[in-house]
Amino acid sequence: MPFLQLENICKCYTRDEEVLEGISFQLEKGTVAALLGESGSGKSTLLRVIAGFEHPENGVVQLNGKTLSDSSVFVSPEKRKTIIVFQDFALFPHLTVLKNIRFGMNSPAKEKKQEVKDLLQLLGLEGLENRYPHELSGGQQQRVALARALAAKPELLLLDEPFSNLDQSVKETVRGELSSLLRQTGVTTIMVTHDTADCLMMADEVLVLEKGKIIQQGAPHTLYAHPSTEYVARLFGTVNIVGASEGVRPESIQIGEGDKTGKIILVKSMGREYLIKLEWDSQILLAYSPSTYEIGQTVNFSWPQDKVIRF
Amino acid sequence: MQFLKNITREYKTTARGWLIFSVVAALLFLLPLVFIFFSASGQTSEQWDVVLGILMPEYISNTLFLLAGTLGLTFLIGVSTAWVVSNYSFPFRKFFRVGLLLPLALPTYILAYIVGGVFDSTGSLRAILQATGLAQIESGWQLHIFSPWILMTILSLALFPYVYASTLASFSMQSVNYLETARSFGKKPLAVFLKVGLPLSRPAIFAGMLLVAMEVLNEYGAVKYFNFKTLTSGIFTAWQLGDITAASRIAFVLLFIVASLFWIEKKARGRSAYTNVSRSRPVELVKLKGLKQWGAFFLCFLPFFLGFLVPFAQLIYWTSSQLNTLDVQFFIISWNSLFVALGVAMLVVLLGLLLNYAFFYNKGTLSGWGRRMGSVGYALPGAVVAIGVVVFFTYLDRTIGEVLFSAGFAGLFLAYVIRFFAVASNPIEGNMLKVGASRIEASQNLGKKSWITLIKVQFPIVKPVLGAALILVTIDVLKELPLTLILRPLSFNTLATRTYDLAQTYEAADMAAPYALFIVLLSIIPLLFVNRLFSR
Repeated sequence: MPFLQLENICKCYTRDEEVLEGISFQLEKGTVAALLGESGSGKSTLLRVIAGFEHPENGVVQLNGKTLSDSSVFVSPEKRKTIIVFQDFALFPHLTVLKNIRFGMNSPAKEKKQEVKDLLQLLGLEGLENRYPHELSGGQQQRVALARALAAKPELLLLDEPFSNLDQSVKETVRGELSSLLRQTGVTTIMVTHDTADCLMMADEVLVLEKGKIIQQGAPHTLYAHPSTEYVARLFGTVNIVGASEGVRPESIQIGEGDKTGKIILVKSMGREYLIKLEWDSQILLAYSPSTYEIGQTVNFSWPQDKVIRF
Repeated sequence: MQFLKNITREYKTTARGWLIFSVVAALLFLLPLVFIFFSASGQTSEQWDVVLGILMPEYISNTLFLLAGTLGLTFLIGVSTAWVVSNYSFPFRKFFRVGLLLPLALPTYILAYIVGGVFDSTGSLRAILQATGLAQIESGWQLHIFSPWILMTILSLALFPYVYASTLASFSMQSVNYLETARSFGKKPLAVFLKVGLPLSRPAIFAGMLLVAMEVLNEYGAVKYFNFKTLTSGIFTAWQLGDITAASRIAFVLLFIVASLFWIEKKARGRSAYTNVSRSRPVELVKLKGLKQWGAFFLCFLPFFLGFLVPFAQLIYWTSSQLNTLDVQFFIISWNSLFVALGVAMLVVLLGLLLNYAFFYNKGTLSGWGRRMGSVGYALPGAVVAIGVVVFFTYLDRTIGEVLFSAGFAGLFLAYVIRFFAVASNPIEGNMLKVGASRIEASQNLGKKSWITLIKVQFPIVKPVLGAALILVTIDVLKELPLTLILRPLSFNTLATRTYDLAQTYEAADMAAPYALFIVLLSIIPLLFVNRLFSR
């Protein structure tokens, strides 16, 4: 039996745009999964359904062999062992770091002390125990939110856009830290994101959502190499559509030799390489090249057959 | 169907205690209104049928006259002063920015009594004229001031700050880019005001004027003092003659006007819910020179002088002349009325917290009912709420066969709660909206029960707002007149009813002054809060 199982979850009558139309998937224990999709695709709603903050109109949610929600059962959020780390972290402004972390703990007093100490060390928060949330940087706030979540010993950890409130420079570091932290603790995690880089860096498994439906589930590199639709292919980066259901990524196009000829219409230096726009068969292709060309020049080019993406 | 399905699901899946609490509160808020409808459809006594037939048209036309005139005047005073203060630099501008709020501290009825006293045959005006030798005045001299036009002016002087405050807040939130764009197209200052500033602030101006309209419809003390027959005073007349059905019918008409006003305001606002870009930098004030700067000064000085300075000075003068006759009764009444007002305020604030929490916790339709129905009360004139409660409690007493509810404080408390719930609820709701539900959810998510989340998370976060709400409600209760007059138990007095009794019944405005002054001084407190909101 899978650790987390969702069956045919529907939520159509919401005030927001976000709907869910028959979501089903399974996750094994210890997996780090990413819910990937554009905004409005329903990923946050799905997360809130799992945590119990939204009531699905239909479908079953089961966690660790217990039914959390079906047509007759609804376990309220406070009785679930699913902990969300909110996008804005939702730290309690009137409590110190220490009190925030202890807020959801149920361990006996003795163990509590040790556990908090371990968590503070694990997350590098020592010395900040008596600060208030507003006295912390964004990265620190997020670590406190994570510590608070982990202290409650969740069966399932839910991260809602964990990096959206962080600066780009901080984000890189935090992503690495978080990734190794999740491996270390072995907690089953679902993370909502719209950034494919997050998925590639952190997730064992990616679920792609489009308009309330899961359109593909698999390992990140599988999705990158074998996207099932154009939407998935585009989520993982630019793709040139070269046939009825075929695409080629710009880096797979080799300019200089080959059976196809095209006209260069734009050359832009990207530093290490050049971004080239090619006109071919009355369509425009994007390619990268180590050498530069003249605009208007006609060139031969090709791509290896094994690099063709088929939807 | 979908609605029913949603409600059933809400009942099944959300915290039921909070849901039921919210629904019960909603019913309690609504019952007095429902009972007015029932009572209005009952039999009136025969004389009253005749009287109503003659008086009702007069009540209605008088009310609409007063409403239209006051709205027009408050619009002129409020918007022009707000524009001048937020765009031009002239002598005492900073002072007027706050000072123009001060007339709000004088309840309309107090201002009316003061005007009556000043122009009285033994009043200050005559004394000043005599003393300065400007005019020799016969004894028995009397100015005819009790005209509807004077009444309208008094109401406007006391109420224009509602328009001023909301317009000023809107002007200072307007993106300066709009104004400067208009200016760069070569528009003159007046054109900028009429074509850009004014339309952009339309929603805020309407909001302020709606508050003025509510106050005019609620008005009893000043109207009665001027012997001007409006719907509210009609409710009193019918009630004093013991004809509750007639009172209910007049209340019903009044309700209809209130509903129409809200409808008009909504229509007028339309889809023009302007989203202003938060201003990046303050407006560069235009420095006025010569005659113009004194024009701006007098535009602001006049309403401040007439609406606050003169009446306030008069109150202090009267109070000082009354000091030696001030008896223990002053302290008893002050203490009683503070005590009751604070008790009511605590109840209202607690309800405001609980009902908003119920909604934010469950996020359902039913769970939001209490809070939503509660907010209706502030739009209802006090006399209407009071009549509703009277009818409701009389019905309860008749059902159990004992005079239990109608006597005592229960009715007064219920009416205060209905009338002032929104005063506490709105800031609490605003705070909860601003902070967002995610902290409640986080606590729930970490395994805490709803009431523990309330005590440990919601309460500490919202606490500062609760304090402010407590003060606001306390002062509103102390000032409230019509509702208190109808529902107060025998021989119970608040500062407001005592002022009314002395100034109205005994025609001794000077004896009422200490009570009135106390109300005014207390009323200045919340204005200081408001000032903090847009001090710049």
